[in-house]
Amino acid sequence: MNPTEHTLWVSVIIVGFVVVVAVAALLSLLIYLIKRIDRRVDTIGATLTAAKANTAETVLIPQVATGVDAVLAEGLQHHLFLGRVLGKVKS
Amino acid sequence: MTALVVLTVIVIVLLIAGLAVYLYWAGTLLDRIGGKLEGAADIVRGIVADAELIGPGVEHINQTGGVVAGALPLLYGMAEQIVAGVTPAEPRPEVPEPARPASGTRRSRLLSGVGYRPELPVRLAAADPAGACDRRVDVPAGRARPSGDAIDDPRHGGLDPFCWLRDVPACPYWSASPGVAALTTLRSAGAESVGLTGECS
Repeated sequence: MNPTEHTLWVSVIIVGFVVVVAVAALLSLLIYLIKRIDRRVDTIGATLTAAKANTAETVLIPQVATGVDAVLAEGLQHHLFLGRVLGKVKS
Repeated sequence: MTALVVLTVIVIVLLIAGLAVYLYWAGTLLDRIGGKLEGAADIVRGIVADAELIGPGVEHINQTGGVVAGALPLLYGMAEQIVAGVTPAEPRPEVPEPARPASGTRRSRLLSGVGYRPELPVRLAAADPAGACDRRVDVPAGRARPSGDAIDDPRHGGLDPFCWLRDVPACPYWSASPGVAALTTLRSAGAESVGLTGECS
């Protein structure tokens, strides 16, 4: 092996170590970012859980609507009753 | 030569091992995140299912509530007509009373409204049980009012502008005292003239 080939080989090995260190650094940055995503996903999950708890009572809305319908029906009965009584009072 | 080969192998192994370790680590984290996002997607679907009930329900309530709100005035009107129909009306007098102009000193609430009560020269017999009054007036029922009203004294020719009530204890608007109970009792008994006497200075 002539000196030029030897020098080139050594240079390639050094570049290889540099590449290994650079890859490790970039992958460490990737892991950091993934962990940050993990934490934020946890936050999103907690928020969604709270929102789910808040909207869980919406099943009562149709029941309230049914109750308001009952109030309306009762009001109509009152209307009919008052109509009958008013006719008798006026007569 | 041998050293160079060994170093080359070490570099390659380090690269492969580093890639493997880091990628496995990243894969594990991403898999966990994926599981969490799947759970979040389930929660979001539940929220959507809950929220779908809100719109039609609220629309239904608004529609029915509007009908109820529109019908209530009708009920009020009918109820008022019924009440007016069944309430006995007082019989009209055969000889209607002549129209009389309003007389007397009108009371203003402007001063008392701001907390000002002028000192007026009247003491009541209830506040003066010793009876040192030199001139007593009988206060007709309904005439005892807070300060500013003159006492209609029939023995002195009607309205006595110098006889004022001050801090009338019998007046329901004023602070309680024994005179209040006495006047209240007499009024509730239907007395036309209460026994409240006042001294005019």
